Amino acid sequence: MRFPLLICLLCALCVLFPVLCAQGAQVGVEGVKRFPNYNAAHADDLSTLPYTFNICNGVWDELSTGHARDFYWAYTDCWEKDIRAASEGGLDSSFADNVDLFFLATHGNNWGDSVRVFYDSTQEWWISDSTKWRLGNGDLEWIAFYSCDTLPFGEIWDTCIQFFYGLHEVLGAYDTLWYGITTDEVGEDFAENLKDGWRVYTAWLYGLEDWWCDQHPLVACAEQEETWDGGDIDWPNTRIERDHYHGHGTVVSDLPHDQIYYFSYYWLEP
Amino acid sequence: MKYRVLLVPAISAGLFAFWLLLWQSRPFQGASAQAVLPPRIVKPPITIQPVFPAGYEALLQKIQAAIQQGPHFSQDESLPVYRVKPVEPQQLREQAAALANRTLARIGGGQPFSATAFTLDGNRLVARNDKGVLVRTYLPSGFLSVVNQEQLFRGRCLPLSDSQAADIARKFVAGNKIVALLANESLTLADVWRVRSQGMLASKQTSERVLNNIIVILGRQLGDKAVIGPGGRVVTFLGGSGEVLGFERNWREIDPAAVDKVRAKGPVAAARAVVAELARVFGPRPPSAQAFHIRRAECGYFAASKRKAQKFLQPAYAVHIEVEGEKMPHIAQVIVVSGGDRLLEPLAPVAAELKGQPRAVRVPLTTRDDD
Repeated sequence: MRFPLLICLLCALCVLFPVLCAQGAQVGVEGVKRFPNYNAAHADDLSTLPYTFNICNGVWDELSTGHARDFYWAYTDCWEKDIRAASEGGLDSSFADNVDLFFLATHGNNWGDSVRVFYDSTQEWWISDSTKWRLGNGDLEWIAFYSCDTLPFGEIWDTCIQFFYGLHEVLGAYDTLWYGITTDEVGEDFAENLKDGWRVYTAWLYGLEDWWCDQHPLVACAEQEETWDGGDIDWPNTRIERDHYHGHGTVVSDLPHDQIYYFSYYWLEP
Repeated sequence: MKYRVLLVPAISAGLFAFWLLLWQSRPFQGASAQAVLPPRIVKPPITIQPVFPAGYEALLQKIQAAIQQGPHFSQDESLPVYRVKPVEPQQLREQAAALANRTLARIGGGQPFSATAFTLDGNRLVARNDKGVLVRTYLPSGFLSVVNQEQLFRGRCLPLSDSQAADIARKFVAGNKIVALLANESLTLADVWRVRSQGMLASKQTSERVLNNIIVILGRQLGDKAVIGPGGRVVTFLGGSGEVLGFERNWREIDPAAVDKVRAKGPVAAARAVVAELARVFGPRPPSAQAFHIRRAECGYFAASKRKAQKFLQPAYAVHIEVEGEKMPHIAQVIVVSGGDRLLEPLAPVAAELKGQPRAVRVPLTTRDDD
């Protein structure tokens, strides 16, 4: 009599386990701290980024749920291909675009109208350029770069429109983000803010601050025509104002690429 | 033969020097008949000057000049070290609830907080009321924030000047006794930041640039020395026509009397310590002096961020550096070094323990040898 009950219980667990795991959002984290291979190949001098893993650990510890799709790569295990569109020969559908939040800490800059992030691996390119990204047509809602200069002012539309394919928001910086013994906690702060129910953009702006280093965070979000209102934006109804992390408030639906009318953005000015 | 001639004067000179030494170290006979101990011989500290790779000399000069421009310690100046009062969790709960309730009417109203309302989440205590007022406090440092989650980083704010905003913040902090100042402590205006928002169309037409919040950061002055770092700060968030939307207090209470003293590093020694740290970051190829910019150089008592427990407030130097090359990505790093000849504890203990350790590297989910 007990045996069939045990079987039933095991079956129920087998069914429920993946369902329970799927409740949380999935997260991908990558951190590149040193660049010896890049520097050797380019006779260049990309510096070490101290405390990179403290930052990444903070995001991972707070947000990973043990889901099979969660991943955390470091050093040369972080590949440019992880974020490049499958249609461009990349692996985004298995990595960056296969989770809800993708967080990357590395060197960054922009080429006027594209984001560039730097890697130390030969898989396949040293620099990832956002012209090769198509994000959000898989699972991804938010992409976050703890890197300098990823989102240049005045070029928000040109920069973002290339890779917003259902992506909700890009979290980056319009100038410097600092590495040091006081900003090592920003990953944890950001993740904690998401779990405390802050809007995603607020979690980033607020989370990156230690109120000592001059941080320059910026968050951009894809918006529909309805809230533009002739340039007098209806802020309370914008997507950026309504978007929260899964399980911690409203989450807006994906906005198809061809329905993006404008980009809203918030930033902090030291 | 020649050496024998020299032997007699040499022995005489040696004996004379020995007698002179004894004479010098004799007890001092002053006006009082009391015998005074001979002056203590203080040996100079043994310092090993790090040898930097070529190219760091120019940076050293630049850093030294930047440190010398601002307030700085004098070499061998005697500096007190202060003991930080330990954080008592129960006391912190009560203090957090009391401060939140004292400011509640201005920040957002709603149900008052009780000391039992807080939930323990890792190393912090969290509580929220029915009007979205969020209270967070961190056990390692005693950090406390009370903010209106529904209004912060949103809405519109009047374009107040820095001094107008600072006045509001100072009155709020003093009126609500957000921090208890010792006799030798004061608040200084450290910074005023702003949150803004905008929209951009494909044509690059932009919407009105909205000022959402003004953030006033007050710093801590301990005697004639500043407190540097994220600690020793009171942050006030303003919105609307200058309404207070919340505040943060990263303020470690200290014993008024010094627990110890250290001898200070002057600008030369401090600059060398900073360059030694830089050499660890940049290795054998330092950035050129042209690309190397010092955004801020400061010294004072270092107070760490909220997740780090500190037993002491100790002197330190901090240099905020940026490296900008034409093709290179921007690099922004803050280097913090001890301002004394010794440390009673590491300046940032937790970070040092974790430094450089990747947390997890897992087997890829899909095969990666597909190239």
